[in-house]
Amino acid sequence: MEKSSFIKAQNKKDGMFFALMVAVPTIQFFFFYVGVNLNSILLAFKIYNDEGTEFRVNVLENFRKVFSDLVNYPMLKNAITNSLIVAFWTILIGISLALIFSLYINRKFFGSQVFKVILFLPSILSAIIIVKVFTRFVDGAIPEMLEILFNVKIKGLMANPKTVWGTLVFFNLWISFGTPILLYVGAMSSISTSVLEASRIDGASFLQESWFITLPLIWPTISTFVIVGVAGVLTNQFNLYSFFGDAADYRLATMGYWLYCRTIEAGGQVSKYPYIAAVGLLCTLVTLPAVLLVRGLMQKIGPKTE
Amino acid sequence: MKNGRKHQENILKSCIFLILFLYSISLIFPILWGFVTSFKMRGDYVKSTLSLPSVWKFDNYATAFEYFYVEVGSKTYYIENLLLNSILYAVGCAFIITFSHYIVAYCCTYFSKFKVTKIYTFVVLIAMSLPVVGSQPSELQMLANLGLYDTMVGMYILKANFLTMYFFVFCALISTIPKSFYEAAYMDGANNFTICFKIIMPLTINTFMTVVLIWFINFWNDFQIPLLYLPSQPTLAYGLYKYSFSYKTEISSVPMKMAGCMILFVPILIIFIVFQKRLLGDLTMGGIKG
Repeated sequence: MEKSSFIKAQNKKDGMFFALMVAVPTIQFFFFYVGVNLNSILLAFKIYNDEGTEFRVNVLENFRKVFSDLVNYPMLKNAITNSLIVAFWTILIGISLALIFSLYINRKFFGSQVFKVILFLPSILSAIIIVKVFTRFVDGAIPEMLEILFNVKIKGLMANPKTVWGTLVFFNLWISFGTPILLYVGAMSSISTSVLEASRIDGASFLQESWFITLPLIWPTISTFVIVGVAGVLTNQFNLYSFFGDAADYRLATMGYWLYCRTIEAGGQVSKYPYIAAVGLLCTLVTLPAVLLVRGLMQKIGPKTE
Repeated sequence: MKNGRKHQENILKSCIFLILFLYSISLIFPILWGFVTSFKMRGDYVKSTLSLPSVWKFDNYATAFEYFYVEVGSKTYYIENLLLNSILYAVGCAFIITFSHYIVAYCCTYFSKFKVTKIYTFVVLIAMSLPVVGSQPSELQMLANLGLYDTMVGMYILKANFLTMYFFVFCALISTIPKSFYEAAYMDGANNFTICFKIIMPLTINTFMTVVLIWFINFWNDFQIPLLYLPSQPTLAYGLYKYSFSYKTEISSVPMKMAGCMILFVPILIIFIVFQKRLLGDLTMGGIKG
């Protein structure tokens, strides 16, 4: 009897500590995650007056405008396809290469420590710095290098409308390795050494060990990156604002960039928010099944037991 | 047979080494090029983008400092104001977001006897994978309604969340601490506050500070969120954005643009070199299943 009332008293103390500690993040969550997202959904069905002080509810008006703009203004349509293209390459090739690099670095092969430091450089620099240096380099230094080495004259890669899109996709891939490699190597290094030793004693090569042991054991970490990448397809700007400010050519826009530009343009005018919210809601409705599908796929093709 | 396989393995390792080597060159060379270019005269750069400066113009940096400012309404924010805003924003937000993640992860790991902890884990998983698009206008409206728009306190409150992968990083970390630590402290009469802040936190302070550092770098470098949410308190990163798009004659040349970039690059490079081991230490995400 005494023991159970003691346990009850301890549970009460623990409960109070728990509630006190998580209070602020939990309240914040309700306001700025639940509240904001519910409000965003509701915004999509509102039409405000110009002053933003009154609104009326109209279920379809904002969405009609969105579909009409999709047909009449190529920027919105481009934004969706461009986002998909960049995301496809950065997820497929970015994650594959990051894993290959991580496997090499984790095994501490020649140069691993140096590579680990250098690969992390883009993650510590402001996007503005990398973008500006990259742009000037590919528009100035690379054409001059090609002329000196091969006597070939080309336009700057960002300045040339034919190469700018490929260069942008390349850029996003080029700077993507830092944090993922850090986390992949972290996950790989927590694999039990006895498992790895046993495989090496059995004569497993680097490739066999990587494919049959390391990658399956870090599958949850890989899945997380794939799922987060897919979830962010239509929110990720892919650095366009750093390259162009609000003046990107309509053929280059991504959805994340389009949304950010429209929000900046709204400049606090509540009357402009519902349209952006409507686009956002449609994007969410389209991306959600994709995320669930990818999640299911990753679980299906992944290893069955830990 | 064994030699053949070893030979194949060596070729594979060499190929990966070559790719990593070329990729590393592709990262370092442009940055070095940008640094050297920042000391050139406009004429030097027009003549050749690849040559060394004929005269090393160190005063390019003095000019860059002079023109590194942001005008907001009738006020002008020079580099010292931008620096102060950056420090307040980056340091404050980094500590708050890390602490929020830490404390919720601690409570969910240590008090896993409470069923509600499963809800928190589920919520984080959902938030990480649910594609919420276009909620910034709504968030701005929420901040404005609460009187927090365009305030540093508003930014701090926005960061008091626990919805990123670092929740799992801290869960993994805290779950590695043996229960005997808690039990011994409890036997000595320690209460929950003492256990959390005087015993467990010091044991996990390394990873805590690593995550603070990662967030600090993130917030220090970001200009887009402050631009949207904190327009009247511009940061250094926003200052560089304005500088890099400026058409003023004094800073319109490529060398001057590079000088502006290097002003922001060098301090972060120093931080990186000093804290390199901490930043590149092992972080793992625990508690995620597929």
